[in-house]
Amino acid sequence: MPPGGGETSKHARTGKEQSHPPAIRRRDESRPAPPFPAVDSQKQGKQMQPAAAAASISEGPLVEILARLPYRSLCRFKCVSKQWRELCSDPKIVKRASQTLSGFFHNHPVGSLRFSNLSGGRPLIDALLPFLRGRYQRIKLEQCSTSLLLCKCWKLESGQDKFDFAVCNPMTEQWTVLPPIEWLDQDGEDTEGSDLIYPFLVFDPAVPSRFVVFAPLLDLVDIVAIYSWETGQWTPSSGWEYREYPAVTKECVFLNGMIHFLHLFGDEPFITVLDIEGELFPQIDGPDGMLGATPGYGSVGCSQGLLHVWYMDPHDYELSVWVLKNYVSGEWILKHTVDVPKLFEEMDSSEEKDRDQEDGSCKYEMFAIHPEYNVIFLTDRKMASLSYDMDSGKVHPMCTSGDFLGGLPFIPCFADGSLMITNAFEKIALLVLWHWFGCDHFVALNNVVGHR
Amino acid sequence: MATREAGKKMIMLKSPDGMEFEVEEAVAMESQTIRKMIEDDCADTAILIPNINSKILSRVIEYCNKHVPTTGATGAAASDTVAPAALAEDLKIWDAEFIKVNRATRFDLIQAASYLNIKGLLDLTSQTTIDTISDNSLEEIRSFLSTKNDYLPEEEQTIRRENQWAFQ
Repeated sequence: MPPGGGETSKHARTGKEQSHPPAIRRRDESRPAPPFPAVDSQKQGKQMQPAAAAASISEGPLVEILARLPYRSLCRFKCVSKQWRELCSDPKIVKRASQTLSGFFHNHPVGSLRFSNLSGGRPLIDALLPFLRGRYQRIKLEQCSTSLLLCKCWKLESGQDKFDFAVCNPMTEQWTVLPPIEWLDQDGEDTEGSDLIYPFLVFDPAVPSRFVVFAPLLDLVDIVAIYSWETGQWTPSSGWEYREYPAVTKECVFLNGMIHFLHLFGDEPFITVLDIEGELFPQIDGPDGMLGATPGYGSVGCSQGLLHVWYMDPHDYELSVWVLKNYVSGEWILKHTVDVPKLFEEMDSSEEKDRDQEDGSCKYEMFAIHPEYNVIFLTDRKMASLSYDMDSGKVHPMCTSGDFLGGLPFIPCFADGSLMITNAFEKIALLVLWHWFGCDHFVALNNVVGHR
Repeated sequence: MATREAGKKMIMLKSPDGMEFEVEEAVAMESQTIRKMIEDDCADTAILIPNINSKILSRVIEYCNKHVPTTGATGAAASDTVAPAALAEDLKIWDAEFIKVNRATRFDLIQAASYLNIKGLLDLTSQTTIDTISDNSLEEIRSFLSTKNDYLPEEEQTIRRENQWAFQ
């Protein structure tokens, strides 16, 4: 396309015109001409021409524009023309695309894992995770940490006992299997090991290659095993006996390079702050309004780069959302309160809502906060889920059929670093193979692994 | 480096259509491309900027003049007591005025900013276009950016189906 062309196109097509096959122009084969033709960069007297611009696709204005679009827009714009399709699929552009909440992984009542887009329509991701199916028949999603998934995988459908934990990026289809927990003892000789039972994945979106897995040990209370993809190894992190139980909970947020775990056990809720090596930093006390909170009715999230906590009163289902306005001083501000049952009544006035708990469990749940907007997501755990705009007070139904009752928020990531997961996988696999079979089989097996 | 000591060293920028622009080195160095050339000692007194005509080049220089840090060679503003926030607000208003140009000029500016590697200008010009197109229909985008739909109807249907999730 001629980006500098000043003429507005007079080729706006009508549906009828479109039925004529347009002349086939193999425009898609020729990438846009570089904005600057190659010039001789040698010194010419006292003048100097800037170095020749490479005939690179990333030079054109269109590329500059596309590279600033969110992924969703890129996918939509693939339909503009063949050239746009090529550009919008270019890994260099896709990797630069800003990502935001795309949708949720959730278990369908029938039992299978699904992915539902925030915007509806055909799912962005095949929740069957077909790229893992070559090795595993049964896959259970344990956790979604922003862009990476932690799955429990069985080689056979009927498999009960033996399973692996795999960390994968469904967008790049790269994955790695967590090795067994083991490390050398203090003398550097024997390995000490433990079963991997409750791994907890933490992913740093700012450094896409970086993820760690925390694994509390059954037999050792004071030690938590931490796996770092960078080293491909587990290391023991000690001193956990002094930390409030349970130090690692599902209520977790990664922010400012730190991991934040919310603790609702005890009268005074607080947030444990750890770096990815497991080193403990001063805790953040929860907002006063959360004093005496009942576990299971609150959680923590990140929106607009700020830490948020929320709590739903188990008696009248009033939801309160606080934001940590000042990270250093620990100053919380009550951002919003809302009567949750009323939101669901608004959505479906015909249905009579019974506010009493029926089975003693929490009847409503806020399952996510939007990473960019003042929007939260709630479900009645029975039939419906909705999004609620805290600024405008508007309610948007997401589902009323019971098919979607909350899920794990997912933000796609295509960044380069995730490639390294593959490398890490190779490294671990090779180490394991070395360990199992000795070096004689090493080369042959290397090929097998490489061909997974 | 000799060119550095003068403090207010001037640089001559030449456009391919023969116009010459004398600018302060600090202003020219808002462009990372030119900065690199100066730092590598490749620039003597005149730099030919290929493929950026004088009209666009003068706008680019205008932008750089405005955005060059005030503590630099402009001297007078160095000890300014203007609050940074007020300054930023002023720049924002100036930018908004600056970008009120026709589409062709804007694309030329994107191209120039990309080549001269002036991040602020590139962000400003690209983002303005994105704000225009991101919520538009495909047809509006094609028309706005003079792009022809070269899909066969069945091809377009297929590609639309594949990316259905991105269309609400």
